[in-house]
Amino acid sequence: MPAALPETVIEHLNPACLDELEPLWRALLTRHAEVWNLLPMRSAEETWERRRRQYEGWLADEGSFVLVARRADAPVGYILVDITDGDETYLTGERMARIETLVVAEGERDAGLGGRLFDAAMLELERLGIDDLLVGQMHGNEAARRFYERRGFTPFVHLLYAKRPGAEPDAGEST
Amino acid sequence: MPDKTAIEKLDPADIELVGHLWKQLIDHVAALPDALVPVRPADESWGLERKEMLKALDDDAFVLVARRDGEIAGYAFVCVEGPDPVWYTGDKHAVLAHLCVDETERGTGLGRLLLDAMDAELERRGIEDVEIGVDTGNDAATRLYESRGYRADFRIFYGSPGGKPWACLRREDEDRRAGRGRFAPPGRATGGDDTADS
Repeated sequence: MPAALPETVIEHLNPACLDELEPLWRALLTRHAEVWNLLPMRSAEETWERRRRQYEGWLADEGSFVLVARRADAPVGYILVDITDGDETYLTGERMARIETLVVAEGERDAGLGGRLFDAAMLELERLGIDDLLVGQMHGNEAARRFYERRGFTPFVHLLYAKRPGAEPDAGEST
Repeated sequence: MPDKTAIEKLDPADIELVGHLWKQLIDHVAALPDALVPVRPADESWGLERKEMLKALDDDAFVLVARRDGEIAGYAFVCVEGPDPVWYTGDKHAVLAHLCVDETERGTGLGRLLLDAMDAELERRGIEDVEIGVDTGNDAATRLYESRGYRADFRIFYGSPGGKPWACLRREDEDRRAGRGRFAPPGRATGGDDTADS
């Protein structure tokens, strides 16, 4: 009889331990590269360095949090939620939330872990009294679109990107 | 007839000169047939947005205004941000935060002139990457940007935690019942932000 898998535990991550998330971030990059190709991607080392700095900035905002899913102490997924002031245009509350990252390890996909992390984050937002939530979906990531639509989310703003006319198409690669 | 359109940079001290155009844009978004997330009353939104604009203008952002016969008929508000953490943008990239054209001037090419001027200013600054947000259902704006080479990048989703009905729709319904916010009787608009910088 096969041994039972260790239980998966979801808990808050101490922001001082962000580097524990790097392997999962790298797994997400692989996914990004499969669905989006308007620009070349930076190296994994560089993106983590830049993303970690963004995470530190967001987590300095009151109420922002990271939940990490662990199995046998190893991180197998995380969700990072930034809490910001309400929107200037839309009829949000005084504070609102943005999911900045939701990722599950490659071998853990399609097993409901993303949904468990999402549900745990929703409980935390309800505890914080925040009832407006935004999340971005990279164009082409249809699995993410279905995930959020199943949970009652709807796209209301589209972001578009272009190189300025006259700019070299791959000029960024040389920087 | 000679073209009397001039594009110039706006002094942040004159920010109030574009307030009426922002309010027109908010009302335009509110009236989009596919608008999903309700917007704030135009006066309230301008009070909040104006503060954010002034903060950004203290940094690298800029506003270009289009004048026709001396009157401001449109503007573009462009923010400048650092490099994208994942993709190879340059050291700075631009976000076209607002492109507003007076409702009496729409369809006359003013939006394109403002975009041309934005591109020229970005070229002067050595900025090559531009991102734009468009409300769902604002098809005319999407067509304009796509005709200039813009392509779909991200979708932003809205929802409320716990699978509850959308909180923004609950607030809109409460405003409707109370006759306040966007539903205040004419002349009794509420929610203006008196704390806006002056």
